[in-house]
Amino acid sequence: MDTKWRLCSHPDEDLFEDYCFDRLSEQETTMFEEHVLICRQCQKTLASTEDYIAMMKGASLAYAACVKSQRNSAAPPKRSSLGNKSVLS
Amino acid sequence: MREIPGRILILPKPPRENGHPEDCGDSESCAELVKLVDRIHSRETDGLAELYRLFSNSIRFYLCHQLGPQEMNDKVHDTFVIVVEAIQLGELRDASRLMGFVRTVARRQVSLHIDDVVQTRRRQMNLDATVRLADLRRNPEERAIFRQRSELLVRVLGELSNLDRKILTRYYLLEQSVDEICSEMALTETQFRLLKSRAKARFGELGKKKLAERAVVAGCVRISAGVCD
Repeated sequence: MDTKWRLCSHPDEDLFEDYCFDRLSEQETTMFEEHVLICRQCQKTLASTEDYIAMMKGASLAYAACVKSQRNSAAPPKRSSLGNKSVLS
Repeated sequence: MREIPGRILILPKPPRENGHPEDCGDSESCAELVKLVDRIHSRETDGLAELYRLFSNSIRFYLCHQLGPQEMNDKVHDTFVIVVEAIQLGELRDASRLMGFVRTVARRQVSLHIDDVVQTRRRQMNLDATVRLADLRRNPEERAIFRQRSELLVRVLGELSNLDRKILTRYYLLEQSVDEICSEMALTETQFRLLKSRAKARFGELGKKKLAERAVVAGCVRISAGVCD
């Protein structure tokens, strides 16, 4: 990777998400953290990325639970208010 | 771990805030850091103040990100003292690597803290098997807001198309890698990135719409309550 990246530019959105999911290599993590350590803008982006992921995770989980409970309680099966869609169907 | 070359988007340099060298790095900023290290090495007190001004917020952010907000002032202070002592003793050989050095010291503080927590928890577990971890990152009010927003997002998720929801669920909830998702959904990486970006955009638009609707409803309720009074 170009070492100038660390000093002169901001990581892209996917890199922030990869960092949050612990998917970066050691070298990438080092460069990313060194940049974030000195860049207020990226500190804010990282905080909002973490919030976004946590919220999306919570919402997907709650949605999955909602769909499951509607399926279980429906006898005979009825269309749910969420359109009777499974989480991954 | 896989290398992902070409994933870095080079953006224009951000505007400087008050001319602080941490706001954007270039050879000029690097030279400023080298000068700063020299001043600390020669024990100039204004050099220490400058270092603290430059790094205390970012060290605080880094430690808080890794450990949560508890006892943050002490840890920031400890990190700062270690960095200053190392510079004064000439242990930082390449002054332009100051940021890397600060990060290394902060990382060490994080792992020392984690070791401490693990040891303490082991001791507590021996004393009380019912010890539970508290979520120190959010207070009750923040948790309530978070719950409300999650409920709203569940409704938004329910209104997305199957494809959008599948992409977002696989990526954020199931934490599947891009390779896994691409292989299971027969997509190329470019297609996946495009679909994810569009799904996020649609999710955001629907979320904003829902929030606006909720604000209108709340406004109507307030107005009708005022009329009733």
